[in-house]
Amino acid sequence: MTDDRNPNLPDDTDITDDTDVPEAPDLAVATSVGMLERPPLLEEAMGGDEIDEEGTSLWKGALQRLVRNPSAIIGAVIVALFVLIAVFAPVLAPYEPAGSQWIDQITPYSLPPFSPEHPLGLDPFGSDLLTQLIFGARQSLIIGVVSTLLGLIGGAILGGLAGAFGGWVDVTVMRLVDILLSIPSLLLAVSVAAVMGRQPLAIMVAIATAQVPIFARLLRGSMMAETRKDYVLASWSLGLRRRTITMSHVLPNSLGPVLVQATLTLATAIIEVAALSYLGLGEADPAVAEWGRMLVKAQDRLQSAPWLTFFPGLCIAVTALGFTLLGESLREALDPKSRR
Amino acid sequence: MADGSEGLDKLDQRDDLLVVDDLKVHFPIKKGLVVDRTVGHVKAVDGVSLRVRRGSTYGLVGESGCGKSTFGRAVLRLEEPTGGTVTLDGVDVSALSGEKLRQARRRMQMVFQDPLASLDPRQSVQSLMIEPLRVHDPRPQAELIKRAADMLELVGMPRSALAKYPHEFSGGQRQRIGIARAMILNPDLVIADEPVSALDVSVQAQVINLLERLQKEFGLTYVVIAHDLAVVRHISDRVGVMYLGRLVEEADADELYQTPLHPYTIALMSAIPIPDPEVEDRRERILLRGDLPSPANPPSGCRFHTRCPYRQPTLCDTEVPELRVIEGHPGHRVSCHWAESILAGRVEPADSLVVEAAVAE
Amino acid sequence: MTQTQAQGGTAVTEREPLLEIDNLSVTFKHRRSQTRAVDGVSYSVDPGEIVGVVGESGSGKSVTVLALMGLLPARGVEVTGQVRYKGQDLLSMGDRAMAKLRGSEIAMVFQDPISSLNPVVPIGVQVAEVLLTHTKTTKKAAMAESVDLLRRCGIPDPERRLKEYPHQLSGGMRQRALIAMALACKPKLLICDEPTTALDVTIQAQVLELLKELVTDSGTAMIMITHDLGVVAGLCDHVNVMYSGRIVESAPRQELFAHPRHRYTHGLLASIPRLDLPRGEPLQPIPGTPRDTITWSKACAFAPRCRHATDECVRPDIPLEPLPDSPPDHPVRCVHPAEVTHG
Repeated sequence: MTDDRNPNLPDDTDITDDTDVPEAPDLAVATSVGMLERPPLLEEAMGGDEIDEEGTSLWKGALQRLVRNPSAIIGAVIVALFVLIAVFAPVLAPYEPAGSQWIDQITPYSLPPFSPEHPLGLDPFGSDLLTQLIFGARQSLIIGVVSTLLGLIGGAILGGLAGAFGGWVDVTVMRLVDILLSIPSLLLAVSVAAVMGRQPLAIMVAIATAQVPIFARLLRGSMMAETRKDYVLASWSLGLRRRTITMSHVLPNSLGPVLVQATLTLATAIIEVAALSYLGLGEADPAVAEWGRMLVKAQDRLQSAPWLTFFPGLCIAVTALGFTLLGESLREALDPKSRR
Repeated sequence: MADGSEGLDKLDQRDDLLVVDDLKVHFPIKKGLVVDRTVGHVKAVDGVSLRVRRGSTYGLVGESGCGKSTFGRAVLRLEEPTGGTVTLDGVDVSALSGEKLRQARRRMQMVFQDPLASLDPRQSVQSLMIEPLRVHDPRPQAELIKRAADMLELVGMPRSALAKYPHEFSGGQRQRIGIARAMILNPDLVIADEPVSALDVSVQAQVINLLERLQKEFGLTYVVIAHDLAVVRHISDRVGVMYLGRLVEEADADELYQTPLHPYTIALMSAIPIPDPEVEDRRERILLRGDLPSPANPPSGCRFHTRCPYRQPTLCDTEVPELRVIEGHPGHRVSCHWAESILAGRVEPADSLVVEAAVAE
Repeated sequence: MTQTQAQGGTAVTEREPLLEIDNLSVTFKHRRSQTRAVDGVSYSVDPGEIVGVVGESGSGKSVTVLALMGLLPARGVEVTGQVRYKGQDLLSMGDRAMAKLRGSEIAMVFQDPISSLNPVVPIGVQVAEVLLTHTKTTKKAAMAESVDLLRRCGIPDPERRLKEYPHQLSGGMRQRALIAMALACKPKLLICDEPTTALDVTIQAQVLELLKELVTDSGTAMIMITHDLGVVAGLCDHVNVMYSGRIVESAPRQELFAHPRHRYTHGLLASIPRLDLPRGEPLQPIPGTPRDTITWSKACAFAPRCRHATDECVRPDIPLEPLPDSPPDHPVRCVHPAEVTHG
């Protein structure tokens, strides 16, 4: 009933409640409730109400709304495209990555023009730019996804503990999270990288660490809000065990906002990966393709070869856009009332 | 109840399923930046004692903020009582804890006001229904499902409802599911907190009738908490009226409605609109002044004296009135210093607060 | 009353209605589905008259007045029909003119006072703002007038309350403040949408008494929208009962409660417990839920829940008309109306 509300109506009008439902969904239920024999003509006039025996769960309903949402589809297509490119990079790329076999064509002041062999030209190290971009998708996506996953897991554990137990566990965990939050994420990342050395894992850990507080707070807040709801009280009064209440009632109902946040965070993670590589914290081997670093390397030639910055920048922006679109539509699908 | 009617009391005692004695729920008010300090207490329930006879319905009425919902939750130990005891069928529920308390819960259930909020939106009706059985009475899945289906049928829902989710039903149907879920453990006591107030008018009677039918069928004992005096009167055998955390009057339903003695009850009853113009035009309405005082800082003496139309210059603001039985009205308890005088018509409400009948001309 | 075929613009009688709603329909459009929330509703309000509109959620009672106030969103909503206020059509009126009318001539009180008040502005300023917008007055005079209004609406110590914010007031006080705002410009018509539903009964009694007093003193007409038949019984001159977007029965209050004829009204009265009748009578519930409905274009929308429905009820657009044995000002939209009961 709450699924298809007219988003524009003020909350206190009564039409939002019942008229909004396209048709009475379960007449069989209603009839047996009222125990009413209806005249045949009336039954016929009302007829055609197929009684669907299967219910639609909230997850299923959300998925149905998601696939009907154009921006979700666009987002999903973009994301899928980049994932495919990343996975099939060796097949798609015309050349081997990080090779500098055309270095002799590069001069400090000029790059060779686009050619059929190199549709996007060469980069300053003498590699094929298209190949580098395709393999860069791998780095960016893997680092982005893994770091978000790490952050999500860490945050979910901390937030879940705080939300499930409350009391001193909550206080301890949240103070810890507050401390994490008080350190600027860039500083945190630089310190992590400094400790772990220049390797992709350092970037992942750095980004994940910066995300942990976000997820922890979100899940904890969400669980706290759910815990106060009547259905949790009803579960207690039925004598359910604490574990059951937390794991099968509170947690599933609290995950929605966290999932949305994770998708949105993926977008920022990809940008952060670029930012950290830009600062020189990523992979030590300068030839390994990564969008952020490609931007840095192109900087000196911004005047003479602007496309060197344009293409990786575009890749970063489009991927981030894809995840953002997906995340926003996921938010709408999970909570149709928030749609504006 | 130790005063006046001891003989009657002893006779009834064996029959009392629920005995609540001096129940208190105080919520601390906390303030402070770093360390929380308790600066006071909201006395949501402040010393309520009542008995509910086996198989009967006790109606608890009062306006929002009077503590009636908190009382219900404290009885079920969904809220930790600050003091007092709750005895269910001879077992002191307020002394139980941990696993023992959890086991004891199957005997006392709750029906909530908002059925959408009280059913987990992500679970199918089937898993909602068999979940309590699985905890208290583990059996093969098929057997549990059958019991769930039987229970649904009993509340007038088809078997097909099992596969659906709470949001796919209308308010009345959801409330039926909520009731079926509470009844599936075969409890002795059911506390219904505003069971119909969230439903459409035309559906309320269905749910009221259903509750009555189930009571007959299973010999249930009800405590019905509601703000709607008409509904409470309809289903209750005995009615208690709460004001600011205290019971101010208690009597059998018919007696209470015929001879309300506490000024609050009188005003409450005169405030209920009756769907009959003839009655509406003839009746005199007693208005209360102002709003409910804060339960964190209740008035001295009689808690109602700040709004009481019958307020007298003495006693009211200094002495706390006892809940006592009124002579000539056995079983009718009231906490007002002037109950006898009001009954005899010696004390009249303040003129400014009486709205005369409209058909004066 | 409800038959609003105006007698032509020229034939002005002294009983010319203040507001005439004529065949008003409101359709909400979704991506694929359409929902007709109001389906050809006509009623009128005379100057000084109190008209009650009774119905449950989904009956369209609130949407009707939101439409006439121009408060429905423009996108996805189609409003047809006419609403004449003092002869002017409100629906074809421009936004500017409508905004001018709103608050000064027609005012509205909503169910939920907390969301109708601006949380960051003191209530005194909010009341004064209404005065400043619609009348030529100075700020000082408006504030003084606000104090007077709040006092008249039963707010104790208005000088102090003036400076308070909505959250500092209780529910009843907020509703009073809202009523004060609504009455600030002495409107000719006051529309109350479930004004007491969120309040406790004793506070409801205070607010209803206040409304009754203010309206009779100033001769303001009122539309009272409620689901509570009790509220209507004590307050309204004329009552319209709505079901599934249409008026199913319309009558003066005494007549309606003495002889409810539509099966819905009849059933509703039999299904609510009453404080003044002997206990022990079982309630007669209306079966089904408000969702079990059918469009009026096919049959009586109440038929799926009606114990008296027959095949004859399956006909399009059953008219709202007086029955042979009912007075002309008591039209009913029912094929098998309830018998007239005596006593």
